Amino acid sequence: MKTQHLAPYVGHRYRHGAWLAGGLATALVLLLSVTTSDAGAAPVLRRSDAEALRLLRNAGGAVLATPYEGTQFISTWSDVEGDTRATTSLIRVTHTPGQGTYIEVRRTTADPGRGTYEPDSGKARGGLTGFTLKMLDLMARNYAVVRAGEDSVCGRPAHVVEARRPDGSPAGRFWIDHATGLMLHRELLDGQGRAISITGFYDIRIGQPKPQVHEVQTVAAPWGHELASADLGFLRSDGWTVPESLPGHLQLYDARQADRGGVVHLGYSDGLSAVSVFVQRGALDSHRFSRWRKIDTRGRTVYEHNALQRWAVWDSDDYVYTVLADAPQGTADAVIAALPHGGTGFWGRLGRGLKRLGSWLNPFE
Amino acid sequence: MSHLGDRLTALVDGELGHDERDRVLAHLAACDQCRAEADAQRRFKQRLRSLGDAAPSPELLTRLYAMGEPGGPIPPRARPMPGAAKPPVVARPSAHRPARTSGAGGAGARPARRGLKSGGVGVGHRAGHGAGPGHDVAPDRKAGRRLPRMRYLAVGAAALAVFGVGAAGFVVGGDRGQLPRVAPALDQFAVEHALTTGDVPVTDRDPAEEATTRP
Repeated sequence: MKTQHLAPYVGHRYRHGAWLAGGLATALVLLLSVTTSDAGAAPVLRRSDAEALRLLRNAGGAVLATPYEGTQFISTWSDVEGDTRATTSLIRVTHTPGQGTYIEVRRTTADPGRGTYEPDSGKARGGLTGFTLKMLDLMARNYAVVRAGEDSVCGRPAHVVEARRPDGSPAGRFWIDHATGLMLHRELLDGQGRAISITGFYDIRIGQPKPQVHEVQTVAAPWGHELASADLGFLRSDGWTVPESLPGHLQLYDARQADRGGVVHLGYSDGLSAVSVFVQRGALDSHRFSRWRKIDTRGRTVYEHNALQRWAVWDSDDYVYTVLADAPQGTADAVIAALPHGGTGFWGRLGRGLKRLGSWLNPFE
Repeated sequence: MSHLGDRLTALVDGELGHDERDRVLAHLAACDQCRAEADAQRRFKQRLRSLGDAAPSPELLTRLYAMGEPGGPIPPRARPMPGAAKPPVVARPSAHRPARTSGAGGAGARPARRGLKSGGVGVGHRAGHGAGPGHDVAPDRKAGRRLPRMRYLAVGAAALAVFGVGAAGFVVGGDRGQLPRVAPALDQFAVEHALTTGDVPVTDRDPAEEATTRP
């Protein structure tokens, strides 16, 4: 009997619970739908395609394992005083596996150019792909790397791989040879889809190349003294400017020092764009740059030259900065603006003078 | 002495209860001494009430205002030298304040200082050696003046030295002649950049030369 009396009450409570659960579920669904629609409005980086990343990773190995010879072109577009100017160079490339790559850069077909030789035993492992493995990691972090269909370059079937921004627009595009895995063509694109730089073969032959008879300059490896984080900390405490990151999601991924001259090379990249900042102590000998474009940045003169690559040179606070950018113009400008452009200042000048006075008075120095 | 004690004061102030007041009034009717005491207290209270509306005299106000004005320099603090006699204690002005008379010493004069200057009170008066005012004060002041002068001199010399070194450092620091004049090795930088980015080492021409030769 008690159960019969209680049953309606329990059922009533259950009905309340069901309503409550249903309400909560509806609210959750609504919340999810709102969140999802917001996520659609704000760009979210899609995940990279593992096969696309594998194709790019293998391209670095294929360029060392494959015998080939061909002619590449490099075209770069830059804005100079409001005009968009294109600069193109031709490069004769021949590679013999186990030996090295002969590279001859010509401005025109009639230009004999100058050659360099990059041995396979060297530590340079980019292999003309336009990125290193460290940069590929950054690319996967900053872009969605996906396969974007099939195409052909110089009559050779190729996979097309795209690196896409969070809004879906392509920032980089790569054509990779079906048969060998070689990088046949690559493009760097700006936010409007315009090409910033293109490097690609316009003729290529797979097979043992003819032996080179020209005398060339051998380029074995980048500067040997790699700088660890402790070295960078010491440089910072000594007054050097060593940013961990620069505008445009550029991360410091490589730091080296020349064996002579004390020049520090800081390499920044977001995976596609690459910016090198060379820092050395001293005052700029500006006579050599008198024909470069002079830009006034925060009261200091920056000497710029935009051609095949974007160059900028200036001095600040007893250091000379040289920026070499393979990046969109806006990114290069932002990088230059983010680096020091000040005079020594009162305290800097005073500190330098006191240090100098101390060195004069110190008999052991 | 009243027989009623505090109750008499309470009666004058009107603070007694009904029964108590009757008992006190009955006592006053029979006791001349207490009645006279009560009359005296009432008169005193009336005077006090009449004083409540009195405004301070302008002279008093002037003197009070004068006390708030800035005074002269603080007398130097004497530091006893080893073996020297204990410096005399400066008397507090209130201890030897002369009797104030209307208009004495001028309205703006401060009693304590006037006492020291006059020699009739203060240090000289307290020492009581009969040598006259200032006899005890002068050596104390001289010692007090000599030490701060040396201190000021030392501080001034130190400040001058710091300023001199700073100025020399600033002047020397302005000379950038010792900094090496740097012409960045652009061709080497281009190769280094290419090798660390997997790009083609473009070393066809020095960009500086290129810019120079371009029409």
